[in-house]
Amino acid sequence: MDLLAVAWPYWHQFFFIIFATIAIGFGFGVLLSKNVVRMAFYLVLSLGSTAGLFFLAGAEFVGAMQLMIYVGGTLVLLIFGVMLTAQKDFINMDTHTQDWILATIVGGSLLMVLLFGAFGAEDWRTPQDINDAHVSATKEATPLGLALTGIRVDTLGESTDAVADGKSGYLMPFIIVSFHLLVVLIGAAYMARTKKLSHATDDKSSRAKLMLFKMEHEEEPLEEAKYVVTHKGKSALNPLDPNDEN
Amino acid sequence: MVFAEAAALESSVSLVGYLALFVGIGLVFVFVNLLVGRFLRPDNPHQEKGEIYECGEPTIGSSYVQFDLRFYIVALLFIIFDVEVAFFFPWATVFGKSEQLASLADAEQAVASGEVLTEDAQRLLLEMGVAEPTVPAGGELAIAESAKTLSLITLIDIAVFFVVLMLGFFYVWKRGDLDWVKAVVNERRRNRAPSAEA
Repeated sequence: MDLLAVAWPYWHQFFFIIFATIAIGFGFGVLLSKNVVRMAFYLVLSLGSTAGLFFLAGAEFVGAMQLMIYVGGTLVLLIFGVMLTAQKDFINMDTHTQDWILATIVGGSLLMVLLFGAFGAEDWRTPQDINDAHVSATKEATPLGLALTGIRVDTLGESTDAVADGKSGYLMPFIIVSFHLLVVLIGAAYMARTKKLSHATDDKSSRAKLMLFKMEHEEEPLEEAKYVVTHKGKSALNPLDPNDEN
Repeated sequence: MVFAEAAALESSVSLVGYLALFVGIGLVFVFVNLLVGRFLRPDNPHQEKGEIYECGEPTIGSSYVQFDLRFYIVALLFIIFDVEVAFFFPWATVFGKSEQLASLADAEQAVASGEVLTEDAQRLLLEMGVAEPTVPAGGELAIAESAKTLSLITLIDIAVFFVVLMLGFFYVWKRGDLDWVKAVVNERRRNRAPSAEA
């Protein structure tokens, strides 16, 4: 196998070990870090090298989607989430002992299920011969697209019609996905309704109130009376005053 | 098939190899520049040099501030259309290939001559996932017909998918949720107007 002009039969194993080590290492980084922003960054690296593992397995479409949706999209969401909650209690998170125990039980049992599933399947065992690695030979995006539009090309070889019918396409799930995305779209917009924001200003969120004050008064014509500065140096129309109508 | 698997193995390894190469060169580029800078720059520390620069003003508080919720919503909208693109991509490959097959079939003997498929048509059908492409009973005409039907069906499918999402987008747009500043100000004015009358 010629790669980068160096013929070496173990390139596949070499890259697998590199990407698996990065994925696991930064996964532990996420666990052990106490800073939320660093956790998010470690998660980027861990998910990115998982995409490398997908590419290595020949699942190019899944790898590309891993990069596009997880690394490119979900991480953006996560970082915005971090910025939303970046208050003192959340920046440095100390994991308590009981949390560790609970997480170990839950994560460990999930890992056991995965391991038994993975080693139980005959095809998924580690090939003894390095040239025997199972890699999908076809580009999978096209058959996937066909299946999503209701046509399973891979059932053409099925012996009976009954088996072929059982493996019909995924047109219905495809349309359900679009409705699902529609629900998320409208739900997100509902969450962002300004009512929520004005609710927040009723509380002690002085920052939001200050922002609202600025935004409201940017549009209105400036009346000098509103901005009379008293000798104490405070604006007469104090945006932080809880008794104020604004 | 063994040969095809070996070729696929090689292509997947070289793909990952390029990924690793680009990441590695990016990392090396960063650290080499830092290292060169470390040796070239004069070492003359001063307390004021260590301060955070913010347009010449002294900084107030931490840079960890709470952001507006609407940033999160825009990020969420981005994810929705990101996922949508993920579904568009496989569709685009199917649509492109079926159109190509149909246009091949329009030319004389470009798909099949007698009982044998041409090389182009065979490659297209293999890429579409047909394990052993053969000429169907109807010959070249049948392939042309089915390719045209396929491209029409996939076009309708994706149109329905897209229209459902566009309905949501239209609703959000019409409702004014995508307006950044005006949404808040207008809402506040609307809330304030009845109380002023009363």
